[in-house]
Amino acid sequence: MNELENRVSANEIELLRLKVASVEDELKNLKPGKKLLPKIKDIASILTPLILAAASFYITQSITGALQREKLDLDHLSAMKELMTELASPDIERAKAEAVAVSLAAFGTAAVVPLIHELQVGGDIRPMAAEEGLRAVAFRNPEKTCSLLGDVLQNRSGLFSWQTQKSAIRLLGDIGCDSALGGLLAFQTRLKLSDALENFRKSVREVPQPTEKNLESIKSEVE
Amino acid sequence: MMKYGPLIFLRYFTTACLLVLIMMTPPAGSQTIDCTAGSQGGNFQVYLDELAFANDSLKKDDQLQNLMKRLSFKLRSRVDILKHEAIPVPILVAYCEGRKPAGEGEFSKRLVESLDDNDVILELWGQLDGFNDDGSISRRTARIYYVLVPVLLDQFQNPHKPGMQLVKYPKSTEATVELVDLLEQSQEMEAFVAVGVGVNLLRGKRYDDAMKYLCKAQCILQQGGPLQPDASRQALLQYVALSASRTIGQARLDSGYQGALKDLVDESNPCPCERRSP
Repeated sequence: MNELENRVSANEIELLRLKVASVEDELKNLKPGKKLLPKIKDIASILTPLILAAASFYITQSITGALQREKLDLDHLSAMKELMTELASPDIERAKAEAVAVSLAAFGTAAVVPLIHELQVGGDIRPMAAEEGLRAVAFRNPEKTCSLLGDVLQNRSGLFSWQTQKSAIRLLGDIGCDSALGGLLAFQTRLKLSDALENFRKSVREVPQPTEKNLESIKSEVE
Repeated sequence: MMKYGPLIFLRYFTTACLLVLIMMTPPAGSQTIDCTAGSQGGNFQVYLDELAFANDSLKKDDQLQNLMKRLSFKLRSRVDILKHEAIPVPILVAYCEGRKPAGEGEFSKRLVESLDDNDVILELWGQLDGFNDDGSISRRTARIYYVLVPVLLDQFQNPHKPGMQLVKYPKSTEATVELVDLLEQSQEMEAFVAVGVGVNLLRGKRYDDAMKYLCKAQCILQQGGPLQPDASRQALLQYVALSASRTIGQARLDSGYQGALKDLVDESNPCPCERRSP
């Protein structure tokens, strides 16, 4: 029995040795990708639908968000329209005009363009109220307000009256628009030229035509 | 989408509250509204505002109502004459219906500057007042204010306020006619307009014309009139004299000017006024 047992054990040992040698050979011959690739494929097959789902969710949210913002803007316009109609009333009293203009400021940068328009309407009450409104907007949104007021000042196509440009200069100073400094200096340089009045008349709205007196008042405002 | 729901609600709620607040704002004592009859500049303008009662309880008083009608008519007539006077500078008169400043404080520097930018040289407004003693009105008064816009702007810090001239009628009911007659007799409106025109012409470097108007104003103010001069009137007279001197000074320094002011004017008496015969 012992001899048999010994022979079996020796055979088993030999078998084990052969198996180990085979495994060793396999390990030596193993290339990295060949074993990992299937695993990556497995992972990819799980991740791909997840990524696609996440991307479509993000895109959907973005589009929905944009549509909502669009809707909010339209809602803003609708609410602002009420206030703007109030402000446009020709017999609006001074304190009320200022209250309405400052209320418009609650709509943020969307109110800047309508308030700039009110600077143009003439008279004293509504433009003064519009200035108050623009100061209020600038408190929360100085960059955008400064940028648009700077555009008013740089415009030379006759879109704005000289009084509107004067208001813009005043507001740029009150708000502290450092970004507009370059534009203001360029404007000041133009006003010091020998034919300043003639050129200035060409760059602003035709009526009312600015006079020498008006030019001097603008120069004072810039300084 | 849900994220924006509360935001939309908040925006609508805030707007609604603001609108309600604005609508509930009690009417202020003042009604300083835009003068829609005015223009945006280009011509010198005179604003004639609506006369007002100091408070609503006075509206029922027949004597004050009568005085208001007479004063309004007289002021309109006097101001109308300005339009037709033969002067090289046309003046527009704007009847500012509904514009009733509550007091001198309404004329902030910003408002005055805005009026000046629109070439308003004079704004007239007035108030009728009285003492209400259990429904019976006594001690009726009338105040007519002349806001000389360019002067007020230039002399805003001057405590005597030469740019804000007041004609005050302090007397009792029997003499209510007198204020209207006083306005008839006095040439002060012409003087005030002349000051406004003169100062603006000086700013526009039209020295000869500026001198003409400033001297006219000085002569009228120096003559005095039925209305008693006060500190404000004296301050205005000083300002006019100073402006006349300033006109000569600037003209002489201006290399582009070659007119009579260069050397033909007596600086010590630039505005020789004819004396009234007694």
